[in-house]
Amino acid sequence: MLLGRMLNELSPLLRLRDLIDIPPVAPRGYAAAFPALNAWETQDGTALVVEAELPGLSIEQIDVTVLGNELSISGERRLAQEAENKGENGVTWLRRERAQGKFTRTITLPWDVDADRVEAKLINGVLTVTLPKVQSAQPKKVKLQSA
Amino acid sequence: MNTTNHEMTKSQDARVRRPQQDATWFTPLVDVAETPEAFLMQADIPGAKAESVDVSFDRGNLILQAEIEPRHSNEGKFLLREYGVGYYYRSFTLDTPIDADGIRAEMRDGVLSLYIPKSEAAKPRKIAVRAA
Repeated sequence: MLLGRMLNELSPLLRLRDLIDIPPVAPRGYAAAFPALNAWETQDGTALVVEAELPGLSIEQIDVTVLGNELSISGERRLAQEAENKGENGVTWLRRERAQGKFTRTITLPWDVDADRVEAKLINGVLTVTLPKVQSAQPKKVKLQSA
Repeated sequence: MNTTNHEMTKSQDARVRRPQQDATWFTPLVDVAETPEAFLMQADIPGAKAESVDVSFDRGNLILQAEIEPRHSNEGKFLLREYGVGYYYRSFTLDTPIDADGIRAEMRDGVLSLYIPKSEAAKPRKIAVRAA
């Protein structure tokens, strides 16, 4: 009885934890947005960093576009040329779990960014885009004046 | 080739907590092809450097592991958090005898490529038939 009541009281918390912890999953039959993104504000508040995992893509296969406060990441992933080329006498696929094809994802940023100073780098299959905020969106320290 | 651990993918069911360890583990997605001579495997391990990837083969078990350094632990406020960063682990059981010394592994752009040659005894052979 007591245990049951305790669990009942805890359950909203458990549900909340689920909401926070579990990344978005598309409903059955729909593709999840690709690529999945992590985005955070730098600690000094001057820029936004957007990160995506794009294993197997080279720089030439990825396009990063900034227009106003919209960021688009698009590209095409082509796979498994290697195995197919080697298969002059028969390749059997035992598993094909990795996806391929064209993708585009556009997100709206909460501030305008300085498009000329946006930087993108690709290291070990991880794309990192750093988007400095425009001057007017940067945090400013206000000086207090004594009367 | 069978997968012995949970059938989970990063996007579908992100977190596998292995007992004993307090880290978050992910199961990398793989492609596996078989030719008469070898198995070819590609595994997506974004964020992994060659030196942090560990491939081992022992008595028919092939184990892939990679340690990923946290990339944004001290950062500011998150606006989107759609995937986690953690370790990677996956194991396979191979029924076919393997030439373990001939296994080659290569990391490139976050993809691990493995070439796993079959042992001589497991390769197909053509037998010449002589007229008696």
